[in-house]
Amino acid sequence: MNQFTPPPDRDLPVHRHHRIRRALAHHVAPGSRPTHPFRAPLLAGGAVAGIAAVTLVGFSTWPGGPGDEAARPAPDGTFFAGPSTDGGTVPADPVAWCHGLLDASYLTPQEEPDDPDFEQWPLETGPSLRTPDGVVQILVDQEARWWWACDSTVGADQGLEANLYDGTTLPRSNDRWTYALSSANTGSEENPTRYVWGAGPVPAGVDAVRFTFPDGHVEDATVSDGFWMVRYQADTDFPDDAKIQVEAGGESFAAPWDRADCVFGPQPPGSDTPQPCTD
Amino acid sequence: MTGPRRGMRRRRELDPALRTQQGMETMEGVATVDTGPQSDERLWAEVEHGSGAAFGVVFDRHAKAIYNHCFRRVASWEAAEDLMSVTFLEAWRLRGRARMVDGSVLPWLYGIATNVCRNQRRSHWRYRRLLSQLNADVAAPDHAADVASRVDDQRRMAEVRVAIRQLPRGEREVVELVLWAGLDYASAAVALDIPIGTVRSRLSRARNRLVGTLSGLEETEES
Repeated sequence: MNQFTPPPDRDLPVHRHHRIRRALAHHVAPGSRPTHPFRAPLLAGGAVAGIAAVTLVGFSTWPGGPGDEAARPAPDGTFFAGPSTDGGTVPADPVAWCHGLLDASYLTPQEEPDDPDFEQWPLETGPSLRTPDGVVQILVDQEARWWWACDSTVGADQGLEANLYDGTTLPRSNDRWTYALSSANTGSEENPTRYVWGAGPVPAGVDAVRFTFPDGHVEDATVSDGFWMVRYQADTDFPDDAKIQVEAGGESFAAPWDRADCVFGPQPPGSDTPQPCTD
Repeated sequence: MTGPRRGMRRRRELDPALRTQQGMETMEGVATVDTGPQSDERLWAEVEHGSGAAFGVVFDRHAKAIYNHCFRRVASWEAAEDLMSVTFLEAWRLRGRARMVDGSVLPWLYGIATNVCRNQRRSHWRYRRLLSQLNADVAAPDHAADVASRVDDQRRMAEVRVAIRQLPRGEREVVELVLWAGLDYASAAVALDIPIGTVRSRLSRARNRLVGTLSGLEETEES
């Protein structure tokens, strides 16, 4: 090293990276106010009622259908909480849990709970889908035209996996990015399998979203309150160059599925720093 | 800290930013980038059509490089954040004029960053509202050790800036891009919008001046 040698590179602090990214996304979004069909009053009766209603929609296409007692809300309005058979977890309060993931990704421990910016983010509770294996929960920031989705199905109990789908702005056009998916390795090293999930706002004119996976499996996304949601646990892993095709609004796209839609993971116990989901 | 469960990790490739940054190995001054399905070229085609999502991926991929480049220009991590933000805002504004080098938009982004750093006041004014929003909530979240090491970085970089000030601006900018950021000559030429031969000659002159300075210092210290 000599007098002309700069210090080594550093990472942008994770919470700053995310905040700047969010501001940029807001800046580049189309200027019009959102006219998204989702409205808070729809769920004004309480998150539990909203979730229950949406979950019933999900029962028609997801494992753990109407006959599955474990998937029903308990009489006191809380939800089944505990590990599922495949190791996922079902948060007792999916909305609070998803808020927690978001807090961990945006706010440092020092900023919680007094960060005034956080006070300015009144997120509305969006639709959710729930089975004994996990919950997909959507939160919406109508003011900033952003949305987020959390999925507890894979790795939520590990404290390091993000399961946070960092949504893009509302409304969306009917293009492949609208159907971007998140995925995770499941199974074992000997028998790797692939779990894929995604959620997002449904563009105008689209009332059905169908995914065809590389193994030939076809899964119709559940469409509810202006959002689509899909999950699929494949029996095998997919090659890196495999395509997941999505049909929506009379068009067909290759849905991105190998990108990070999660940016930060939750703060694990004993750690001061939100974890990048790339561990 | 409990590690992730074996076999339950997210795909490492999920983070294109990390993937590309890690895969961007500079060997003898030649930067290579991933030109696969998620190449900058393809992403930028979508950016040109107004895709904020594709732009977000480009940001994830190159934010760190631009952040560090800006830091080396101004010797302040905080200012580097602003300049990096402005660089991407400018990239969006000028997205129709992007130039690729071997499928990468990074050299062009370096060029924007260089201009932004040259004209900081104008850059800040253009985006003052957004920058004030970004900075309105800046707490001091970092650990004391991290803060201290960042302060050390800034002191160190300020010294480097003083040392390199002896170079004419043109040579200085080539040093910043080729020697510090690791761009190859062709990429630096695109970034600075000058012929590749000029990059070579400026770097050669800069090296001669710096070597002379180092020698002089060593002699002074020995005496």
